[in-house]
Amino acid sequence: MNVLLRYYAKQGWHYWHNLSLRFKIELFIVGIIFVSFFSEKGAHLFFQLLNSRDITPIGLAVFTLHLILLFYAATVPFMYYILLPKQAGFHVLRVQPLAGSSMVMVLFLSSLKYQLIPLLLMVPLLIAFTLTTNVFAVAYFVTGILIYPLLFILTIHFLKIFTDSYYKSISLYFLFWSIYFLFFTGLYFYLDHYLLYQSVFLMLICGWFYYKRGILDNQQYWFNKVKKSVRAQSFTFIQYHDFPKIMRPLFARETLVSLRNIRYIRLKLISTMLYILLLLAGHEYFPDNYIHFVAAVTFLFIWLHYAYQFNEKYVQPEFPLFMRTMPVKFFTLVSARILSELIYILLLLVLQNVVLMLAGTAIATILYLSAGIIIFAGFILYIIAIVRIQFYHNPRLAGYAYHFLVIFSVMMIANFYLVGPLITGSLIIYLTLLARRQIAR
Amino acid sequence: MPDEGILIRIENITVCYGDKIAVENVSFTFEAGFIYGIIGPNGAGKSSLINTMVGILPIHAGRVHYDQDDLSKNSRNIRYNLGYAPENIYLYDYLTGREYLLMISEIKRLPETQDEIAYLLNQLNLQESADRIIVSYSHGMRKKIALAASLLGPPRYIILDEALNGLDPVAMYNVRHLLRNYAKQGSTILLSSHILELVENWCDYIIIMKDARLLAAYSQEDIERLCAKTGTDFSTHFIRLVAGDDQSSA
Repeated sequence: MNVLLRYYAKQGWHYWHNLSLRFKIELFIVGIIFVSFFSEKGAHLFFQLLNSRDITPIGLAVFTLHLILLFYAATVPFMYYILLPKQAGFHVLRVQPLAGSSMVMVLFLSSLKYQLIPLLLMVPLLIAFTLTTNVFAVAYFVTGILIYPLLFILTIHFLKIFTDSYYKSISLYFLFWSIYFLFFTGLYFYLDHYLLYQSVFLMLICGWFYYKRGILDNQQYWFNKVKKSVRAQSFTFIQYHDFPKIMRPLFARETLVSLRNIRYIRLKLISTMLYILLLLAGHEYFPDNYIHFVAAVTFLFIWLHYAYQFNEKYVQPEFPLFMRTMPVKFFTLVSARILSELIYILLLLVLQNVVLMLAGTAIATILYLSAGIIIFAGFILYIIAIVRIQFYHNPRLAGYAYHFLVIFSVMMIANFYLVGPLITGSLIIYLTLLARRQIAR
Repeated sequence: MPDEGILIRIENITVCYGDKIAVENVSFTFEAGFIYGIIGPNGAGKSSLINTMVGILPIHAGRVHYDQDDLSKNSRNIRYNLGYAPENIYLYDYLTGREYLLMISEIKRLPETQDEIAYLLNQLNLQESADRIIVSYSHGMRKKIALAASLLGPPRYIILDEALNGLDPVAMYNVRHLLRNYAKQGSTILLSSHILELVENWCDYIIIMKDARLLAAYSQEDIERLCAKTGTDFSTHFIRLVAGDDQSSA
């Protein structure tokens, strides 16, 4: 084994050694709880399946193993093309004279980091298997867990070198393993010598890899060719031509910078799905107070969702050159920011109104609620705009100010009907003046 | 009213970071049509002075005038005519280089700038990467975009804080000619750099700073006279001056 590879493999061991004793004990206790809880649940489930349905222990092993492997197989190309090349260890190893087989081992060992959760889940599953099935089923399960992950990595790596194409290798990989899973999982009940067929098939694959192992040595820094994940420019500055000239550069900047940031898009998609799920779940669990539930969820969602505006992953902070040396107008900047997010608020309103209509809520109620949400969203977006200007050099501080202001305003308005809004309004005006001083004198 | 031909005037500028004085009582006048260079050892106060002049840092004492406008009272008017490229570059990662320049020109309300942007991109050898997102740019390319943004207009006042360091030789050559042309058109150009040769060869006036103070200022004629008198080159004189061996200044 390559010396470097040996040290690379030792990383996990060194990592464990460097943990403090307290942390090790904590991990041990959490591990015991985790394993015992899920082992007991798993054993109960397997016991039920084995007794109530016509499933044999080996059948259960085949289906459970293939279910886990299906998930594992689907994630491997993503891991191979995106996560692994980002690992610092690769940058050290890529300049080393590694043999092809050593590189495969490096790939496999590095992939374990990303498979930690599935691997941890295996432990209680394995215990549950041991408690409920026979040795043969357990052996089958363990063998599968040991062999398949290596085969997945080997397949994508082979195909990448063989085809020298990003798309071809991924397509062929999915095609091959889809056929495999469909065939062997689907035909379990129809094949008399299922395990024999599977073993022969696996041996054939391994034989082919062995026969073609020379390919592995021909590889040349395969990870140099990794594509950069830059989002295509589906919108351009020119498309804002008809927008009012005074607002155009800032509005275009706000929207383009967001729409081209893949993290921003991902966040919006996940948040929206979560919101819809919450609304649908509310219909099941709170049918009597559904309108109150929707209102509460929407207000909370808008408040918490927009906290991302203080995270540099999603929003690029302003810089001194822009804030202090450009002739930017305060209200133009604030308006551009509010307008760029208003489209999303409108989308949320449409979704919410559709759900409410399906639930049979009166139109007047929906309109009242929509008006309230628009006012609240406007208030939130305005607060975000002014605190981001006021603390443009420190997004974290701006985030604290935002949460403080929202909580303070809601508490004041809810508890002190006349004085509360007055104090809140005065505070907002004062902060507006402070923020205005940051960019205009 | 300001003196005829004087574009930027700084009067008794003092800048502090807490107890530490970064710039102490510095006064100078920058005339139209000339290139000025600020040079000095690390921590001399060059960037602090420039950051104060463009309005990024607050002034503790003194005044900065651009033509008849006082920076502390009417900065917006100044901002329309100011081109500033900082030492640390911040750009919007998800705009393309061309879009970034378009945005700056529209914020500054410059008339039709497409041709000028194309010209600047060409001069800085960025035309091929102009429509790529900035996040994919190298450090040098980012510097060039920041520099191009500061030259759009061209502005009446151009201030470059270490903005030329790290440019490739072709871009340096082109930028030098651009700056000279802008100076001829009436712009005032102030640049700071650690590269003595650059300041010596490009600038009409050289300002030397040390320990938060303005140590000396030379015109090109002063430098020629000084070198002839002492029989040394300017870099030797500069090193002696900042080391405290030479007390002569223009």
